[in-house]
Amino acid sequence: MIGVSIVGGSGYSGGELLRLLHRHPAATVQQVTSERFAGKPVSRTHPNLRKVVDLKYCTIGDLGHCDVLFLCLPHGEAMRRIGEFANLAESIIDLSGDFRLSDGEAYKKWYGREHVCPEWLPQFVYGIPEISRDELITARYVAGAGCNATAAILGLRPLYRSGLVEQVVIEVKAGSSEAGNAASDASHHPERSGAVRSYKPSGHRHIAEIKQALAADRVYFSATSIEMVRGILATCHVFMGKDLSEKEIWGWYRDCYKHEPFIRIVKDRSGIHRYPEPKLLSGSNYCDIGFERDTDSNRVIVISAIDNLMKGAAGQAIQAFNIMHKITETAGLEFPGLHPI
Amino acid sequence: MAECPVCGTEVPLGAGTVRGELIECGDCGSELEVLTTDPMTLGEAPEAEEDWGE
Repeated sequence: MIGVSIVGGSGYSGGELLRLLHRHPAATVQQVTSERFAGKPVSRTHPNLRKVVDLKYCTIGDLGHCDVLFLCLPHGEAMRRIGEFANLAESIIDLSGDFRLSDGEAYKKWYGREHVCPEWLPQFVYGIPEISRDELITARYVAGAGCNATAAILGLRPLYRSGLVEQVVIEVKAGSSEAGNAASDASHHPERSGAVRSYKPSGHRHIAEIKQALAADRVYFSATSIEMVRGILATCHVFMGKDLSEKEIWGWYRDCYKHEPFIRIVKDRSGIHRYPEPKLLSGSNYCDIGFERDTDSNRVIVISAIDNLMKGAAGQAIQAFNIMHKITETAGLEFPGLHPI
Repeated sequence: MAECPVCGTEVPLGAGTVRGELIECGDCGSELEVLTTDPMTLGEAPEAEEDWGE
């Protein structure tokens, strides 16, 4: 069994990791840290794990050696203590934004501060298996991708591989769990309930990841929070260099994803679930992708959906963990979601 | 096998397939009609449009 510990386990991503790793056939959870809840049972913050996980939180200072350390710390904390964490584990999977960008200058531009250990950036593999599976096989350090970025990158990748994309406009609709479990004025129930709120019309940090992963010079990205707890729906308006046939686009998506266990092309011509819907993916690691060709222009509309805490965070981290350890890629991630929900 | 006229995937057809038979493409879900059996060719079957309140 592979011994794992979770640093910063009281948040939503930490809770999902714990849920998944506890039932994982090849992993044993050794320790889970929370400075705030040290000494308390993990079910205090993750009530779904009552009578399931019998562990108590410890502090980072209590951590012993393990095979893999999952970091679920606020942005900036992982890079500040990376040397300390690297001494505790053979491998690290970091779910924050600290090591996603390969360039310290880009980090400074998008995160508004200097990276404190840019020499570590080349050691991290960007953790979307569908684009970096070969590197993950030999990786020691993995940077979990941003949730919005994951939905956009996976949806757009087949079109970018064609070399025909001229411009892309991405509109993401996001659930409230994306903001984490810390309360704020914006998350206060009377303010948040029923809101359709443009929270980042431009300048979102995930733009940097999207550009890096797709080798795109420019992408236009806006994010809107909506009445939903889990889930992301990315609608990407892609302006192509020529008019494309439906068959061509189908071929690109099929070529790109036919062997991917967690990508489904959802484009039905009848019924009520014709295109991807995040609600149906709650708790699952799938990324559903659909597209439509605009017959009046060279625009292709790509629609992708994920659970932000699964394929957008913990689930994708487990997928990377499986690949790194040459375990069946779907191990621990078989849950197909619920319907109705 | 015959090619789906909508998405281009290869659609498996049984030995007893007859002209006019309706099948569904496993990839894109299109309802297809067997136009000819020698060679096997498929066309889009006419579909009743659903009203989504547009």
